[in-house]
Amino acid sequence: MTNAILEVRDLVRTFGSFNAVDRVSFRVERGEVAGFIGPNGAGKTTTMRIAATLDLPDGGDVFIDGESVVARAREVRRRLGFMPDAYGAYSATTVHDYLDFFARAYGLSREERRETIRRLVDFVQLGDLLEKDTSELSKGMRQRLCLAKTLLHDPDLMILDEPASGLDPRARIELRELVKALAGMGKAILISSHILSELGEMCDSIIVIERGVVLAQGRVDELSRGLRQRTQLLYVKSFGPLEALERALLEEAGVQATNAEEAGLVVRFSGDEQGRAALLARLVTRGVPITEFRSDAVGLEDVFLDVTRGRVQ
Amino acid sequence: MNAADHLNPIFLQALRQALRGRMFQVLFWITLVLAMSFSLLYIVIATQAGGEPSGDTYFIWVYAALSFAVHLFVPFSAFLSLGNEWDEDTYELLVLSNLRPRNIVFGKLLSALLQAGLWFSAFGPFLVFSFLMPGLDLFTFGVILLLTALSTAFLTNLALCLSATARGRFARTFLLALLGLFLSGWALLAVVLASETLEHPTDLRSSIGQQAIWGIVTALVVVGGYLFVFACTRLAHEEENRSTGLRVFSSVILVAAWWWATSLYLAIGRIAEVFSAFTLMGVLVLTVFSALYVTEGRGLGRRVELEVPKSRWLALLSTPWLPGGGRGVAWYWLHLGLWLGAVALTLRVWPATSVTSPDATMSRLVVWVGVAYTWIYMAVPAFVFRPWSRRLALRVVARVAMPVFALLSFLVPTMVLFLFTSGGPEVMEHIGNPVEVVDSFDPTLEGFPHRLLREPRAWSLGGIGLALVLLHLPGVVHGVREVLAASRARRA
Repeated sequence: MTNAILEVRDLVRTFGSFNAVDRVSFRVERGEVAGFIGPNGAGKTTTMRIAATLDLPDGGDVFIDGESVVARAREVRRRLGFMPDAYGAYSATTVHDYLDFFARAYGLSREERRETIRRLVDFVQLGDLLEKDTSELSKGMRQRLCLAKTLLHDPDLMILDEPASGLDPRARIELRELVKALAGMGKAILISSHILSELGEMCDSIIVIERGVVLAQGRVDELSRGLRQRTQLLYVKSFGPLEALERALLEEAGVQATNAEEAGLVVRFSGDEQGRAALLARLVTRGVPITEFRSDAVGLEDVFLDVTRGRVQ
Repeated sequence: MNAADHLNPIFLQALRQALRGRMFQVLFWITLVLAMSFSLLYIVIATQAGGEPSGDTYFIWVYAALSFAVHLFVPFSAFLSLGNEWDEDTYELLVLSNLRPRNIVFGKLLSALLQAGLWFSAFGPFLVFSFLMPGLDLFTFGVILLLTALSTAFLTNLALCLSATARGRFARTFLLALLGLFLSGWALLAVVLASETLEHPTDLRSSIGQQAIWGIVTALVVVGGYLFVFACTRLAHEEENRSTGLRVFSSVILVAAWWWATSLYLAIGRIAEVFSAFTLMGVLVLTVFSALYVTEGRGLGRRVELEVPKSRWLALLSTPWLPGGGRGVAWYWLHLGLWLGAVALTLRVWPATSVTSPDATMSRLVVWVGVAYTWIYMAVPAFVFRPWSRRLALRVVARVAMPVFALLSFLVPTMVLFLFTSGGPEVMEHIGNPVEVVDSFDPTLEGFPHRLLREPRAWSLGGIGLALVLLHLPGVVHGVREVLAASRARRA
């Protein structure tokens, strides 16, 4: 018996001659929070929409709790909650009526509706706004309203497509807390986002997709460890122009790339601890005025850059 | 769960939204104020003229306001309500909540009809007042209001169908403008017809008047029903089964049409020409339906494959009702055969009283020529555009090409002959012009259809029709094989 709540198997979707998704396969286990990462046009939304039964694949299939999204779309919809990147809210409709409408659509009885709406508005912190018109809500509030709507039928799997897009920093923090709370409730979550640092804090695993092809997948800590074994990230700062430091670094063996950050450079360096010590020694010998030289932690952004190196357009 | 839990959620939502919306509130009060003003104005004018106010004239004044409310505002609001599902990005949320397209369209329709009910009740006092005045009888009053209610339902279905078809903002704005014009015209026409009816109330009670009422009621219900089903299919995903519902409904319409034509044929004394006219009308309706089905893309689609019956024989039987252009041609052939067979059977069981007259022979000729031309006009564009039938835009082009092709084959040879020959009545006589082709046959011919087979034009038409049958045959065979393969896969 598999423990995967979401299984994407050899998924193919083409639009004319364009392969939006090309034999994509991955799994999300029960209770797992998986980040779905890739640049615009990589195939994230197409994959998520197929998984949510809103689109049909040209090949392959997606199984939610063992049910095919192609063959048994209605059963699948009862098990998943999908929050699209463009979440709608009716005008001339209050928060309560909006949730009540969808709760009716999911077939909840009057008592169930009352209890569920009360619980969910508390969860998404909209309890004081039940009689407010949805058109008067801020983007962050509307997004929380849509999240509450997505939770009405208590799905086991949540698919959130770019939920942080367009939100201000405060709303992003609130979203992150909500996702963590959902994970704490045992929900499996597949979440896509451009803001990798935030995903890093939320996700147990990631799937990296580019041009419709999965480049890497696995647990965040395993991917980070793998990256650390092959590559180190160093933070180097010098007394002098940044360009001169960059030139000096790129002349050294093992230095793959540099990236300006604050007043220094983040350097991708292939080598172990001894190699790092040797690099510092050579720089000092060459007269580069180093003021700071330290190992930088490997984050989700580094994993993403490593996986997609030379391939992301 | 109590009864209220089973109410269509879309109905409740659309009604709540409409009643809370500014548009309904403003229009409601403006129309009521107008109706009140009309009433006062009419009473003042009638009193000053020295006469007694008459119920029928007063009714028309009030009915003018009611007609615009229920024939214009209600369908218009239904169009906007469904369109807002795309504008407000809520449509996919409805799909995800497992609401079926028919729930969505039915909810919108119910909400619009309840709004119409509100208008009727708001106008109730004025209408009752007009009835209490002299000059208005209950039967005419009831018929006008019943037809008004039915036409409101019909127009709302039309509005929902158009709104479901056009998802792009530009297309919807264009259709909204067209719909606004059409609905305004309809509202005005309803006032004129109501006025005419009130002027000649006895016409309604005559046999022809009764037949006309039933004809209008049947047309509004049947066409409205088709528009409803059409709207439902447009809301489904393009790769889902968007065709079977329409095809089944079309089959039912044809059965109802045969029953209605036969009843009328028997009621008015078995006149062969009348039955032939009904037969030809049936063929035309069948062709209009088929134009949608024969231009569908090939392939069943992954979700439809899973709906194909496991039984080989059931799968074979269901083939004409499953989506796909080839199966659309099979649907047309099957229904054309059934329609003509039913007509022949009817004429055998209840022979026409004037069947041996030259006119009767002529009308049979018209039916055969009509069948040939409608098939040719439909089959040529369907065949030409078949390679691109997976693209929606080109399917629309293929459908538009059918009447355009018919029109061009009437006009182009005539114009060419007129420009490059001396011109004269003979330029109209060409194979593309069915009227001239029918006229060219001897109306007194005997031994129909044997004589017909000796006519070169009949051979030409038959040859073209048969060639098109052969051209479409591989598509039909492919369509049947696809269904059998899907059935086999399901059994496996």
